[in-house]
Amino acid sequence: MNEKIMTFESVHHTLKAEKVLRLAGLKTAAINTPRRLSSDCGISLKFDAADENAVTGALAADGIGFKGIYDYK
Amino acid sequence: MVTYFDNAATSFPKPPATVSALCAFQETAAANPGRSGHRMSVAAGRVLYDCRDAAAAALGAGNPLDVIFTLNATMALNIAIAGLLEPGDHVVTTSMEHNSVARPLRWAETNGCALTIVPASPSTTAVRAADILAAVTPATKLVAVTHASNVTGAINPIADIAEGLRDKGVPLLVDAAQTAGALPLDVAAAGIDLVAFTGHKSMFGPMGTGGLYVSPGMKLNPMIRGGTGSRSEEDTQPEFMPDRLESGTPNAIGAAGLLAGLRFIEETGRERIAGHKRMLTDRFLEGLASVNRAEVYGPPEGAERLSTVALNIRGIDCSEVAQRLDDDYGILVRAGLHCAPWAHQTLGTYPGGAVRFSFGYFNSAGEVDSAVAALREIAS
Repeated sequence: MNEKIMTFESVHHTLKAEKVLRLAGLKTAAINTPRRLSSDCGISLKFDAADENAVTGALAADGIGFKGIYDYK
Repeated sequence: MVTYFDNAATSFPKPPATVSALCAFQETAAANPGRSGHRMSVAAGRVLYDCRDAAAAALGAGNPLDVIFTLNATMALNIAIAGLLEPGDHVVTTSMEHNSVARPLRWAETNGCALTIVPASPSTTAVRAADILAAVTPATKLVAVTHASNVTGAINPIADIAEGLRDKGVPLLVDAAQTAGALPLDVAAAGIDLVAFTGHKSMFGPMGTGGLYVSPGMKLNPMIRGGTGSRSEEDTQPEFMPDRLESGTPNAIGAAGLLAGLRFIEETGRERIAGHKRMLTDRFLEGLASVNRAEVYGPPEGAERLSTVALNIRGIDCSEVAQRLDDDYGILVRAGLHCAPWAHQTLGTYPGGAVRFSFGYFNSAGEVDSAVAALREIAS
């Protein structure tokens, strides 16, 4: 399964996004942000790559910004 | 057994859910919230976020990240006042403010700010929106108004004040210590810029909880800087909210309790809680008519108000009344100036003070009747 990581400005933004995505029925996991990506915030959200459009759509609908989306491995 | 009528100082008892949430958090999730990526830290972070979400909803704030947590309303008021004012600025406030507003503003005065204190009506103990707006000058940088008096329970017309200030472009800071959780406070719709609240009064949370709502357009200079768990490679404070104004390990266990308190309001119904408190207040006010020499201050009969009543029994020192209520009847009230010398000057009860009864959701009509009977004996 291909997975993606989404990074955020702070943990507050990460956990806000996590809640919005959970309420939208999308499965995510909060994980340690890989050091290669960014040190902005130590926690990122991991999700199924197939859900990428649904994830970005749900966040956009709620006006939640994110920093970037990367391949997990 | 005691009868607790000091809910304006802090609500007691708390809902059982508040108390059990404190234990549950400490036993299962008390890692440092959001600082580390492990499951306990994330779980603690979620509790903090859920509390921020619930507090924002209670205030009518659209975005939970516009709410920062503080230890209490006083800290929130200081963050707002010190974060906004600069030498040369003018501030408008009211004569009903608590020292949590009065003292930071007197400090601002010594720092080169000018202060206008708009008097409230001595009879209603509320301010008129028109009087506040008339005091605004081109130099006015802030208007600070208490939503309701901690002494008399009188409610100020903050929506009208906010509306009038919108055209003038002057931000409004509301001290909602007495009202957050008790009265609807639609900050986004009303266009209120800054709201300081406490968690341990009408929100049914533990002490050490509170916060400040900062509207998206406002940029306050941080009073406290430090670790946020974000931008760790940078040694300067992040610009974005809530990190800009919220540094250091937060009171996450307190947030767990506050979240339970806010859910208690949701489950019980804010209107139902308000209705019960109103019933107790009306019953008490009616009963006071039968107490000799009772002098009651504050809103006229029938006016919208909080469940806080200030009174004196003419000829008896307020501290003696409070002591006798405690010693002889187990009734706990607060006598004196209630950290609000300006308000007592407005009422004409400075420096003697008054006795304050403040009723809560867990009080009963029978307790109110006992208090009236006790006052009748004390006054006879």
